[in-house]
Amino acid sequence: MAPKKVLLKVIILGDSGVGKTSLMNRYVNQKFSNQYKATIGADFLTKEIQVDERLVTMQIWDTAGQERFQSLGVAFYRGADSCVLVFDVNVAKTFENLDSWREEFLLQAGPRDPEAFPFVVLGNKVDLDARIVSQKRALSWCQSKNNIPFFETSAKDNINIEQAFEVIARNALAQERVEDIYLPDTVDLSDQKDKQSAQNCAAC
Amino acid sequence: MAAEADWLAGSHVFVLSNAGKPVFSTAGGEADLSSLSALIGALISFARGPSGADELQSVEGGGRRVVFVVREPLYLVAVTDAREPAARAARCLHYVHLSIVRILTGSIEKVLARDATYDLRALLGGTDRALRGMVEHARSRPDVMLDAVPCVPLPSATRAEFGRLLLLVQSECAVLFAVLCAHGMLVSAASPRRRPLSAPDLILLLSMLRTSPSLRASADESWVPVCLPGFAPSAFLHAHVSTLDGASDLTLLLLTHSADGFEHLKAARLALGQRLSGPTLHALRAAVAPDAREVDASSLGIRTLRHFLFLDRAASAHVCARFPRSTPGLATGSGGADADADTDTDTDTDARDEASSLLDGYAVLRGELHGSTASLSVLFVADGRRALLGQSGREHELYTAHDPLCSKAEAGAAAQQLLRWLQRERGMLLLEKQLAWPG
Repeated sequence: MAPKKVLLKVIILGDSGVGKTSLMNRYVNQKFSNQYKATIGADFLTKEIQVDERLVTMQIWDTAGQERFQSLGVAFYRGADSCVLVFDVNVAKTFENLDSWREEFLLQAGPRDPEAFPFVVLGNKVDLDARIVSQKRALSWCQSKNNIPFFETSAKDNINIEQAFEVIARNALAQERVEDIYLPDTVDLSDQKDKQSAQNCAAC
Repeated sequence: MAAEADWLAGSHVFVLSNAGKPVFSTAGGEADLSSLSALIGALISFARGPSGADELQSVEGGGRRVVFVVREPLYLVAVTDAREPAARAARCLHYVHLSIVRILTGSIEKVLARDATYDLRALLGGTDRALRGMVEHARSRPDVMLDAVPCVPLPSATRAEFGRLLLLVQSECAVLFAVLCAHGMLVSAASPRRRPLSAPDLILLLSMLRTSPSLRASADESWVPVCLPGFAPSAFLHAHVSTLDGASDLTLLLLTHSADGFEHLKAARLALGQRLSGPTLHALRAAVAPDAREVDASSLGIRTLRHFLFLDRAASAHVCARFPRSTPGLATGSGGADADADTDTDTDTDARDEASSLLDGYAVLRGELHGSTASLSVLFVADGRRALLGQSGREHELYTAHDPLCSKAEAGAAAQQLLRWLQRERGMLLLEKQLAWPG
């Protein structure tokens, strides 16, 4: 009965200008542009991949990092299967803000098990020679948050992107519920306005 | 974004979860809709604003219209030609939602509340046909637009006989509802005294029969869970479905709340089948013959009348005349009055287009009659193709189509004549009242 293709909703969060849209475009379209265009609201792209035997459709929600577009709120985060936190290794502030992005996400999305929710952290723009945030520092933050996987990436040079998204898909798939939570009620006729028929039936 | 432009080109219905995940699409391949679903999800919740009070209803542009209906936790979307009334698309979406509830019960709400990432496609697997069938039905028939069912026209004595047969079932008191139908039209129905089956629930049951070939193909009987949103939206009832007479397509549905009621219902069906008499079946077979099951408006001898649609409020039933194959509009030779240049030779397509176009016309009249603040009771519109008259009263609504050059007075007179006929033949044309179980 289960659809052959699994759909995963993946949300990309992070400060404005860290390269969220570039990462998505590189991953989905194999393209990179040096020009910066702020995302207005959100962009949506999908990519189909195969993870082991399973066909997966990644529905990627690329969000606007600028605060004035943060009004999409709950609708945006609801039902996410994975969340990608992005910072720019060359800008300390973007790394320091990961905490608040993570908390904002957990607050708005309200996943059933926040501790086990599959995040992935990407330190982007490693192609530039102005690194401020060391790998060690980033790794230690990730470890402190329940061992979030960490990748250093470059959308420009296409470094580590396929690998990162594969881990994103795998970890999200691992979250799949085992138990079936679909359980309709049974009709309790005593609840119905018409008590008559219930009595009739009790008589037989 | 190229793929999304394609989606806007045709006529589609799709459903997504409030997380922006695709659930269903009439064009199939929901996964291809992933980006568009996400966009629509964001659009709807953005339009809703912080107060949550605003609802996005429709967006129009480039001759296309996108209609939204929100039934948390689902968003339903229809893409149509902008010339089609938005109200019809919204009614269709409403019934697509009811169909999903019919299949899964309203507990989908609980499922998504507990786990917003849940992929409903897993639960809806194999039901494409049912949902697509409802969309098609909403387009081609007036049931969904009017919240009313069609009935097999039957001599009063025959209808009464079917009623008597149904009431025999009550000795098997596990039966909650009993419905007899043929060719997607109601023959008779019995229900608890104060809980008659609502028209939407009946429409859903008829739709289930129409779109589940397995229910019809099994010569003997079927046992299926079904949720009737009008009766108990969060629970399943169990339906025993059997064909009583193949020649007339007479089908019996017995509904019970008891999951182990199968044997009871089977016994009830057997008892009923045994008492079905030859003359009664004969009358039914005659009534459902292709040229008998719908009224031919032109056979009534009413001047200018081409087609009509009658809603009987008390019975929640409608009488829809047979759709004409094609409409000879005003002479097409005269200086390009009509845009209908493409003459289709396929008469089936012709009748379908004509049906759809007439229903659109009626829907516009209905919208005006119901929506106007001036509480209109009669409305007349005419174009090169036809003249339409709509009237809405306490007990009925009547929509009639006339020759294009017909005046309002002529149309009014014809409608009055038709109304008298409908009222005289009401017992034959429709099931006036569902039977109530004794006791």
